[in-house]
Amino acid sequence: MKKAVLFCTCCGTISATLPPDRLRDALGARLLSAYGKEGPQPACEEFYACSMLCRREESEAALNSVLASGAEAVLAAGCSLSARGFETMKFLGGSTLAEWADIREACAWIHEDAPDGALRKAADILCMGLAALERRAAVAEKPPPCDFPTGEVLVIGGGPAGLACAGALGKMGVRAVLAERRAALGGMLTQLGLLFPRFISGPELAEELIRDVKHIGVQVLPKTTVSGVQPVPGGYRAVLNGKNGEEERRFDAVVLAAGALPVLPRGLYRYGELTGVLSQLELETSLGRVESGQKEALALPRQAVFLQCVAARDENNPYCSAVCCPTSLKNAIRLRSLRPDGSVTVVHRNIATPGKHLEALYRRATASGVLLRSHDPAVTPECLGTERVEGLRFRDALNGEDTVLPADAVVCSTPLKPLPDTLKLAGSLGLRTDGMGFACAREPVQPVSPSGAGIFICGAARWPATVEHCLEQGRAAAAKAAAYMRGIGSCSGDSRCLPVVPQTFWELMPDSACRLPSAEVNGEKCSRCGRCAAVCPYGACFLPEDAGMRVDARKCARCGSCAAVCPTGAASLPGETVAVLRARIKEALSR
Amino acid sequence: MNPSLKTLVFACRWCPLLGAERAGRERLALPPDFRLIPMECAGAVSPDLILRAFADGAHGVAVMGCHFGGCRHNGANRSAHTRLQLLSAALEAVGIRPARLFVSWGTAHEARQFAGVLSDFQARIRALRKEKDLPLLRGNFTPGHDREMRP
Repeated sequence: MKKAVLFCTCCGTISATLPPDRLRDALGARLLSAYGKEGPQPACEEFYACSMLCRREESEAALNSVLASGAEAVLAAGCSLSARGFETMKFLGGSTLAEWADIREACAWIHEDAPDGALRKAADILCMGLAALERRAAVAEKPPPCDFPTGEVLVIGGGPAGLACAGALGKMGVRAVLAERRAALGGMLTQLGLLFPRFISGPELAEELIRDVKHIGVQVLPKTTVSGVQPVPGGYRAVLNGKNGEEERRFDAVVLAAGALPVLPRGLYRYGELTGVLSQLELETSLGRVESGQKEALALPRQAVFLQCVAARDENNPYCSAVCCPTSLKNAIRLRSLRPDGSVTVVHRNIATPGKHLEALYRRATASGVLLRSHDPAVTPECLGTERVEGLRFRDALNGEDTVLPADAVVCSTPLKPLPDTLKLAGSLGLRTDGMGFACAREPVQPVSPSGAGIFICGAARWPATVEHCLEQGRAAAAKAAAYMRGIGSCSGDSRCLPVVPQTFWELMPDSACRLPSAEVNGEKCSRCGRCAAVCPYGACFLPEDAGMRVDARKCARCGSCAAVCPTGAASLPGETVAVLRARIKEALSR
Repeated sequence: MNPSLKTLVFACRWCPLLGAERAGRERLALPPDFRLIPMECAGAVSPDLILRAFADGAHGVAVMGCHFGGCRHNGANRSAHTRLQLLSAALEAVGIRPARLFVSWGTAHEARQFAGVLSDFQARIRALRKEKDLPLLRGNFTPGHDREMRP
């Protein structure tokens, strides 16, 4: 194989110690002495000197000239990788097999006082690079078949989070596929009349988001459930149950935005038994009807009592759902303005409205005449009445007295709870769930990225969230997913070359994540000794029952520990195989 | 300085390699008889490679990695440390002075530390070559660079 050396003089700072012509002669002599005239030479036919290889014009010209001369691989010698080497290397590596040799920081600049030694060393470094190129060519010639990247991101769930995510992905030029289990998009947005804190209409917002999504060209799959997502080498394989029946599709990344389930107060506070005991969602619907003129305002309750924390903060759902207090206050304000003759009392354990907007909502509620009474949770409130609800008895937390509030409606505020299907999906993706059953990301540093590469999670699937927060999280997940897609877009398409991001640190550096393909184990050579599994710091090596050791490419971060302990040479990093390293060592010491 | 003296340095790319590059940028003069091999992690340096380097005629081999607790690969440097300790015992058994293997953890971005550590090691190798009848040195993990090691 014909190889060429691109020598960068770095505006004379390298050539001051290493004059190009002398280095060329030294390299020639070095190659000749090491391999003789006939031996297998790591031959170097071209030696191309330029002054600033990091300038794109110059690297392009140099590359074109050496490629025109028939060279198949390029060894670029110049500054260190951390200076300009990495980006230049990436450019060169895009069109040919390339290798970088640092002769500035590692040679010219530290051996200025010993020019002869520096020259010998530079020749050695170049030979090491050439030998590594020679060995690497053998690996580079056989890229395994690969279905990835597909360039597509699967967004599961067409609620506010999913719509915001798919729309933002589309705007960033990433192809998104939106799977929604219902016929219509919008999720909870279609059930919510007005949204706090700005009292905009939910269906209108949904329409706007859907318009965005469709306009930008997101593929929408209505009536499609995702029955399983499996990580496969290179990406994810999803099973979609849609109108075409069961279908398997491959995606590079998956965004889980499947939302959560509103709990109904079944069996609590005589819900379903007494007319007038409502869930917050039912009140929400009738308020929406009145506001749109489908119903008379007189149909709304006059003396409404809102009961907070129904089926929340108890044994079954021991968490604060964070959206019910704001929803209650919002509906209380709406009810007050629609029935100015009536009264609204919110009976609560404590009102949770943190943040700028929600605090404003709280103040607005109290200013509009909504009464807030706190009750003692040790005594369960009781709905009074025979057929219709007539009142609510509760123990006031302030004076400790049992109080009866007359009411023609008791509205139960219930929390959101995790969807069983979402939990199953999270399980198949290997996501951790918290004690409450919601899927976990890596808060607080990575709030939308769970530990797996290419999985993102947003909206109420990770924790009950208001619509505004769902939109924010959806866009955050889109940004993360787009960065991830950019990272895998820059990789060679080699199925082993996955953008594995097991650590936060890697995620910040998408380039470095694609630097080397994952480790692999040659099944024929493997003796199943298990040393690699014992030493792997990521738990990426696993031993199947009937075959040699395998490497889970998603977990592997290419440290090379497995190759270091493998007694048979079966485990190796495709870029830096033992053969490449040995070639380097041999060249470094051959004289 | 003997021109045919050769030292091989395996440097993890996360810390020591950056230290080496920084040393170059600061133009800290170093004797030109070492050859640097960048590695992804010190954990990727197999004992086999080191033995091969000695067999190929290296006078000294240095393995440099991140300080303990600072490994970018979930503490792969710790297992590398254990492995290299075992290797140094094996070196003695096969007649290679363990002092010819040098292991250092923690030259993170520190140009002067990298230069100092490397110069010391090269001086040690040179001294070893000069005094051929020097008794086998034990404890190649010199105390100066040991301070972050697990007790």
